[in-house]
Amino acid sequence: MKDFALSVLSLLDQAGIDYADVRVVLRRTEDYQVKNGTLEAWSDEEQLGFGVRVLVNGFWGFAATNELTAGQAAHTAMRAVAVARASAVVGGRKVHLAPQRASVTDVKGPCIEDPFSLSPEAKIEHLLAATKALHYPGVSFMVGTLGAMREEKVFASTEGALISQTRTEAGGGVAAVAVVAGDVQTRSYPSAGLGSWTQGGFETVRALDLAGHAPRLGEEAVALLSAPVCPPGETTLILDADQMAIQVHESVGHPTELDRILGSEASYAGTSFLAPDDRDHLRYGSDLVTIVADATCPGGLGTAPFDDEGVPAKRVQLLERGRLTGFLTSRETSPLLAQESGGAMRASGWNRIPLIRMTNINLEPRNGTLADLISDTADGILMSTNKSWSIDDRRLNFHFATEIGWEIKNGVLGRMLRECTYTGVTPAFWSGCDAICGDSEWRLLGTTNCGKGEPGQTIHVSHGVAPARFRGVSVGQDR
Amino acid sequence: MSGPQARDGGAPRVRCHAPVLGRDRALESAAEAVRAAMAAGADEAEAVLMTEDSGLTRYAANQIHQHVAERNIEVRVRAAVGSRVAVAAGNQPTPDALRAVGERVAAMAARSPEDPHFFGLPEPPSTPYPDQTTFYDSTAELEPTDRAATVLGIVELLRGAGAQGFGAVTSAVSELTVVNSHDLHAYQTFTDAWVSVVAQRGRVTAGGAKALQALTTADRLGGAPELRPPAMRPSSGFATSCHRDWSEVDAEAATLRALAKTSLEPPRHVPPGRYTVILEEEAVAEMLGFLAYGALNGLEYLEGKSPFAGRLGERAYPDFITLLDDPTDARGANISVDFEGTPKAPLTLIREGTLEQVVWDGATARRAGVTTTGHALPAPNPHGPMPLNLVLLPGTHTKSELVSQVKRGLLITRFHYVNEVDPAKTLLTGMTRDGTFLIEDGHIAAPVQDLRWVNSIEGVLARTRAVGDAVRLISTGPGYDIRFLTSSLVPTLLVDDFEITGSAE
Repeated sequence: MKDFALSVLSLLDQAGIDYADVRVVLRRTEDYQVKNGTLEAWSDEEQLGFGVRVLVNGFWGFAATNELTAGQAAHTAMRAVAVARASAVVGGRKVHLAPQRASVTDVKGPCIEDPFSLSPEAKIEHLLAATKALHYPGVSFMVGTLGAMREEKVFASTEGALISQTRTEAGGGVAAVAVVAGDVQTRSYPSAGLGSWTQGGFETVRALDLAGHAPRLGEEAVALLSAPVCPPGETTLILDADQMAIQVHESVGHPTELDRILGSEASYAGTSFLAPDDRDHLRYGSDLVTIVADATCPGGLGTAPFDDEGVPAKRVQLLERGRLTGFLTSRETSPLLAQESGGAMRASGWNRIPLIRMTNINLEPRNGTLADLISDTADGILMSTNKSWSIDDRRLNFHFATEIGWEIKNGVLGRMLRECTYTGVTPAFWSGCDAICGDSEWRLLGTTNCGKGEPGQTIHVSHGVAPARFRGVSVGQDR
Repeated sequence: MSGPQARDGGAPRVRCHAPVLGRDRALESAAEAVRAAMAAGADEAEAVLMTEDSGLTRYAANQIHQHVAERNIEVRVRAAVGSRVAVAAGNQPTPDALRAVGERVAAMAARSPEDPHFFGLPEPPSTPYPDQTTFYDSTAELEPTDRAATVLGIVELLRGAGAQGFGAVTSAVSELTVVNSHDLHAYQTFTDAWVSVVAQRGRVTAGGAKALQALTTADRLGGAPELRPPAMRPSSGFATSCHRDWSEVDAEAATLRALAKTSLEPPRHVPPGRYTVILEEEAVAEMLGFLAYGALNGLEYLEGKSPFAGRLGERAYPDFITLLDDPTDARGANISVDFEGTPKAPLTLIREGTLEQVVWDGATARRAGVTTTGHALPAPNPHGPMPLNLVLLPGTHTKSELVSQVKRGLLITRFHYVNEVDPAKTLLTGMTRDGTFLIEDGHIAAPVQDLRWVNSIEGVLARTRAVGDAVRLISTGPGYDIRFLTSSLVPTLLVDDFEITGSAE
């Protein structure tokens, strides 16, 4: 792969370009899904290809193909140049990249128990056992997913970078679904959808202990069918770690992407309520709220020694004690801030350009346990496990639903609640944060479905989060 | 289908986007993978081979900022040993690689547990595939410079109006091949092209004028007011144009529609409440897409999770609501075959307000005791079948007539980030975006800020008072996976009691 990448770059020697980089990527994925004791889906997929990104007279071009042949190398390299030259037709600002020292290295991510070496029978049995534990009278569907991904990637640039990175990811989840006429209630662990993923081998799936967490899910799903609806009003809200992950993702991660702030995503994913000069003085949340974009975080799906521009992993402070202190940046955008790149350029595969993406967006833990937080709350609601998410194109007005909630009265969890929703506006909501749990409650949750860009790119990101409490939140208003 | 066109009397143009494999090679490649799976011990095997050669020119703040081209294939092989099933996929076109996928999946299937819901792969259809034109040279010939020239045309129109443009111009050639071990063979090649325009005007762009001033020379905005939300929100409008045939794509008209949605007038505040709304086509298509994903899905129906479960035959909506899935309508993203080789055909889902039909693939149809409707998606598909070519039949009212019927209400161009709050009730939430207006006394009175809404699709259809007289083709664009265009043909709706729950301000 390295030789091929270098051979593609050599084809551009006489092409009159300012800069070029090549990514060659081999990715293998494996996914299993079971329902009610039956293996519903088992797929094993492999994708190989390369992409060439060139800068010609200050304008970008990119071309990619699945065929690693000499003929396609030449065709694709020249196609990228032709695309870049066409970009100049409209004119405008020329791209200038922030300086970056070129690295030459081979790195491999953690993997103790290779998920691709483990027998399919063992993985299927692991999932069947976990879903069997979901059984409870009244449960209609016992569902489980499990998957793994391995990516080998070579990055080479005309600046002399030659970086080989290999990473392995694995994850899964289980869900109990109770169905009666006109009502469907679901309880999931560790997250809804495809569960939670971590960078590492099958040991990360075992660490989830899906079977151990399954029994309560079935009981809760059935109980939700007859639980009272979340009462509307303004209340004190405690969010569990899973819901905090998506809260951070949508209302801090995306708004701090500098390409969105500059309008690059205005036609699709949206923009941001932030401006570059908000940095260091905009009050984003309460003093308790400190959030970092940490590409060095062990196990994170956004952890990589280098991003897809060859920039070494960094830990960038986004919010410090409630104030906006940084953005997710690239080599193209960071000069605006008179900074180096923050190392947040990531592509979803060989056939996509890198975009500014979240790495691991982590909320710093504070003090205490979830039990402490509940006992410290006179009147409120605890909401758990995301069910629905929506936020406007500037990342201000959000609306979330969770699978389950519980009333809190005088420091004690009370009756279970269904159809739990809450809504708010980003800075006001984070300013109402008056407690964040400590290290013992802090969890790193990984999602594989963060979308952005045209053509679309789905990237894998993690969020380190702990349960937190927010005052004066509007809940249940849409029922 | 026309041949290569001469341009300015010069040499014939060479297709920029050619089918990656072509009919013969695509069919042979799929057959190679199937043969390999059978030789390796599968009792049945199926290969779905998709290819893509595409380009996308993306622009922001009146200049091209991302510009890409891609060529790729995906061969997806499903093999069965008895009722043990597995799927393997790869993207290498060589015979060795294709055989390797077939051999790998056969070995997987042999180790898979039995699937009681697998009833075998389809036999060749008894009816022919619809003969449709889905490939147009006008699209296949588009080069990066053509797309860039289209962007330039958009940008010049917007500059002339003091506006900025954001969007994409994309074109592609794609292929779909389905071959199985029962001697089923299907091949179709497609083109598609899509233009999107967000026009921004007035006030300051979302990223802040200071940032854009620093970055942009040709499009520098005047002034740099204090950058604080919400004052920095620009006025914006959105429109798209899409067709398999580039000559039917009208970028200029889309640009003018988007521009017409912008306004220099400050947006008015609209309090939460129930409003009569005009939902334009983009908004209608997005809502119906969620109906396709869940309520109209045969597996969801079988499992009792579809809100339509047990209700087929029920009169649920006004009699002017008729919803089809019509893959043969050449105004849309027409297609002749589904992903397991079943011929496509029009299907009425809601007839004159009555719930009539959900959609099926081979496995779910067998479980339900009915015949597949040709709505299989690529395997493995634990989610179930769904319609990809919705058509909501138009009514008799022009858009201006619909607006004139509203005493006080809203016109909504487009939604943003719609998601299901409660799928069992088709309850959705989302925001409005790029053109939301207050209607007073039958006229557009003023722009309003973006609004949050929470409504069920069923409620919206049930409270529809009138339907516009024209349908527009709406597509979600290039998508996330290998290129495969889906679309809706929908009119504007006049809906009462649409629930607005808040705003971003």
